[in-house]
Amino acid sequence: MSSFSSLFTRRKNKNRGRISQKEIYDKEGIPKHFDLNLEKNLKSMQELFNQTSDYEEIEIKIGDLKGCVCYLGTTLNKSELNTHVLEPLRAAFKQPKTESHKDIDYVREAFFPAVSYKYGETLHQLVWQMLNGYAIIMLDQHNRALALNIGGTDKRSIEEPSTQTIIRGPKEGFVEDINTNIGLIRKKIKNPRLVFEEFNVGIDSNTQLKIGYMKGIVNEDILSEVRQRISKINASGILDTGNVEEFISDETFTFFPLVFNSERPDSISGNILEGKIAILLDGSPFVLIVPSVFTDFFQSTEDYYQPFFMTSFIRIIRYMSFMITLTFPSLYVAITTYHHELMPTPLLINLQSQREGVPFPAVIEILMMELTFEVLREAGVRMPRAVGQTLSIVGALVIGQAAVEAGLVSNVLVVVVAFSAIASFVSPIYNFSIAARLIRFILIIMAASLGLYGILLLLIIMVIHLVSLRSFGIPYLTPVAPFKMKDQSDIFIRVPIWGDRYRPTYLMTKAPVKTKKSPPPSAPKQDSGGKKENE
Amino acid sequence: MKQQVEKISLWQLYILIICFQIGSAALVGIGNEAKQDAWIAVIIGTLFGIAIMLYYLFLLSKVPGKNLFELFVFCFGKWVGKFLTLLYVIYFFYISARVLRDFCELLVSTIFEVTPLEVISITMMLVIVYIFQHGLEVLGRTSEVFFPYVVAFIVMTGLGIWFSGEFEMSNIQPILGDGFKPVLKALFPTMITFPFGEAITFMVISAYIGTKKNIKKVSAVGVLTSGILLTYGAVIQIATLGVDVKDRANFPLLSASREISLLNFIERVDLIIVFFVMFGIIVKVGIFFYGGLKGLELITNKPYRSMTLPMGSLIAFFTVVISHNFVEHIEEGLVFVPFYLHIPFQFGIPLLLLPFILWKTRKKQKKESSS
Repeated sequence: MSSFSSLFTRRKNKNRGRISQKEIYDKEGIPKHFDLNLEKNLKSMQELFNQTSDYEEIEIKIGDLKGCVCYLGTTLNKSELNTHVLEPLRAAFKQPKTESHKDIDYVREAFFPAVSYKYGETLHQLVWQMLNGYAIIMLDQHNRALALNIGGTDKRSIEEPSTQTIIRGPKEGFVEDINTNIGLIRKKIKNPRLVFEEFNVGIDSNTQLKIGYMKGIVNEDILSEVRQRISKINASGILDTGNVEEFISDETFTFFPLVFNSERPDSISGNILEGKIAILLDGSPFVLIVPSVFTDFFQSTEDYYQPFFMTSFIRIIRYMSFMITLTFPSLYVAITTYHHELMPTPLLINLQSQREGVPFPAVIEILMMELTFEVLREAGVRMPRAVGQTLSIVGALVIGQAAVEAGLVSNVLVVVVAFSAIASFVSPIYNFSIAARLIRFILIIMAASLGLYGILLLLIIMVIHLVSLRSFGIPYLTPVAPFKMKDQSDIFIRVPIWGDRYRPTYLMTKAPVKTKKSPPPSAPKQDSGGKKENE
Repeated sequence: MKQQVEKISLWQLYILIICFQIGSAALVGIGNEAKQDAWIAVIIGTLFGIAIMLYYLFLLSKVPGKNLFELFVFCFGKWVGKFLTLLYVIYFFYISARVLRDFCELLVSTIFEVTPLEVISITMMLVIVYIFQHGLEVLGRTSEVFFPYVVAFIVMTGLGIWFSGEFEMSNIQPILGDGFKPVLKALFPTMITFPFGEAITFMVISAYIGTKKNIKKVSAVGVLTSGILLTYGAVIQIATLGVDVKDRANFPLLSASREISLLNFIERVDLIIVFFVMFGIIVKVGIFFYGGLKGLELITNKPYRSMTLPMGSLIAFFTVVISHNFVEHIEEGLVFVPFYLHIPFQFGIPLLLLPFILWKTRKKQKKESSS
C-alpha cells in the first residue's frame, strides 16, 4: 500500500494560484458580517443584486418583529414559495405579540415545520444559499438568518439515455439535476456506506460537484488524490463533466480518454460497487468514473445482463472492431501500394481492375474518402433534425454511388472506408472511438510512406504510449500489462456473475473479495427436490 | 521530471528473457555447423544457457541491489571499475548495433529493396529511444502486450508448414550421423555466446526486479522456454528446408515460412513473420541499449534519460557503418565477434569477477561478525 502513493509523484505538485471563495466576495465588496440591523443587511443585499431583475424581497412582520424574505425568483418554484413560506407568514402577521416570537428557532418550528432549512450566520453564506435556490428570511435584531429550501425550478424528467443505449436492462438515464442523479444512484445502492462529498468548482460559476464512493471499499490513496485534484481545478466556469475531465486526468496530450463517463445509473453504480469513484457535476447528465483503464471502454453494462457466452463473443468483436477502425484503411494503402504479394492473386487482379480508372494513388483516394466521411459524420450530429433526410440521401448517393461511378474512387475502397467507419461505432463509450479515428489518419500516412513496416512501427509506438499512461496512478493497460491473472475474469471474456467473486485487484480496494464462495446455481437433485413435486 | 524508481515484475523478466533470446536467433538461424543435428545443439546449448544465467545471477546475489557496473566499482575500485564499465558500454552498444543491422538487412533484402538502411535503422532506433524515455517499466509492459503474438506466430509458422504438407521429417535423419563432433563445433563458441551468453545484459536488468525471491528460478525457466522455442524453430527449419538450403539461406525461418500455402488464401506469410520478428529485435536492441545507458549513467553520474537520444542516434549511425555489406557483416559475426568480444566479455571478465567478489564479501562478513 505504501508503495502505491509513490505512483502519484509524477504529477507536479504546484499550487496553481486558485482564488478562494472568500477573496471573491471581498472583491465584490460584500461585508462578511451579518449585521443585527435588518436595514443594513438589506442594503448590502440590494447593493449586490441591484441590477438583477429576478431579485425579490418581501417585507414581513411577525408580531411586531420586522423581517424580510428575499430570494432570486428564477431559482425557486414560486407556487411552492407561496404555499410553504408566504401563506404561513400571513398567518404570522395575525399572531398576537409574544416574547417567544423573537426566537428564530421558534419561528421556524411554528411556521415552516416541514421545510428543510439552514441557518446562515454570515452574508457570504446567505448569498451562496440564495444562489442555490433558497429563500432567505431575515429578522430584525437577529444575528443569523433562516434559509429555506423551497425546491428548484423545473427540470427534465428522467428519460432513456440517448448515448450508450442498450436492449436489455434499466432504461433510465441521468438528468442535469445533481440531486436527482444522486437519488438514482441511491435507488440502486441502498447502503449507508455510500458517501457523497461536496465540492464547488469554477471561480465564477460556483458549480456544485460531488464525488461518490463506497466507504470501506474505496482505496483511500486514490480517494485523497481525487480530492486533491478536484480542489486544484482552476477555471472560471465548469459547465460539464467534460471540463472536469480535462482538469483531473493524468495526461492531457493523449488521444485516449483517461476518465470513463456514463449516462447510465446502473453503470455508475456498478463501478462504485467495484471500488471506483464517481464524479457528478450539477448540470451535466454525464457522470465520470475514476480511475479507469483501457478495458473499461470496451465494456457495456448490458454485458452483465446478457448470457455470458454472448458477452464474451461480443467483447472479442469489440476489440477486433477497434483494430479494424484503426488499421483497415492503412492496410489497404500499404497492400495496394507496396505489398501486392500478400494478397491471393485472384483478389489482387479483381482489385487492380477496379482501380484501373481511378486517377489518384491509393493514399489520396483513401484520405479523400475518410475526410468526406468525417465531414458527413459531423454534419449528421450537428445539423437540425428537419434536414436529416437531405443529408442521408446526399451522403449515401454522393459517397456510395456517384463517387464510384464518376471514377473518383474504387468500389473496394468504399467498402473499406464504410466498414472501418461502422466498426468505429461499436465502442460502447463514444469518446473512445475518437482515439481510433485520429490515429487512423497518422497510420494512413505512415502506410503510404513505409508500408506495413510503418504501420507496425506506429502501432508499437501506440502501445508504448498506452503502457506509459496512467489513470490516477493505475497503469492504463492493467490488467493486461502489467498482467493480473485474477482480473482476467471480466476482461476479454466474462465468467458467470456468481463466479466473479473479486473486485479488480489493481484498484487495491479495502475489500478485495466481493462475495463468499458458494456453489454454482443448479437444479435440485432428482432424489431430493425433484421427487417432492411429483407427490 | 522526477527520477522514478524502476521496477519490473518477475513475469515481465520472464517475457523479456524469452523475447531477448529468440529475438534475432530465431531469425538468423543458429547451429548451422551441426547440420541436421542443429536442434540437438540447441538443446544442449539451452542447458549451458541456464548454467550461464545462474552463474550471472549468483554473482549478483552476492552483493544484493547492485548491477554489473556497480559490481565492478565494488570489486576493483572506482577507476578500474569505471574503465571496465566503459568497455562494457562499448560492447553493449556495438552488439545492439549488430542486432539492428541483422534486422535492417532482413527488411532490405525482403521488402524494401531500394530503401536505404538508414531509414530503417533510424526509425527503429527512434522507437527504442521513445521506450527508454519512459523507462525500463515501459519496455516490460510493452513486451507483455506483444509477447503472446510473438510466441503465437512462431508456433503458428510450424503448424502452417505442417498443414501445408512441406514438413519432411526425413530431413532430420540421421540423428547424430556424424557423431558428436559437429554438435560440439556448433556449441563452442558460437552457440553458447549467441544467443545464450548474451544474457550478460541481464546482470544489469536483474538488479531492478521488484521481488528478489524467485529471480533465479524464473530466469532459468525463461531460458528453458526460449530454448524450447528455438529448438522448435530449428526443427522447423531443418525439416522444411533440408540441411543444404538452410545452410545457404540468410534467414532460414523466413525461407521456411514461404512454404506455407493454405486454403488458397493464406500465402506469403513470410512478410507477416518479418513484422513479428521485429518486436523481438526491438526488445533485444533495447536491452543492450539499456545496459549501455546504465553503464554511462554510472560513469557520468547523470540520469540515463538525458542520454537516450544522442546515444540512440549514435547506434543508428553505427548500424549503417558497421560493415559494408551483408556478407561482411555475417563474416564478422561468425569469426571476429565470438572470439574477441563475446568470450572475454561474457565469460572472461565475469569469471575474473568471481574471486574478487568472494574475497570482498567474505571480508565484509568478517567485519560484521567481529563488530
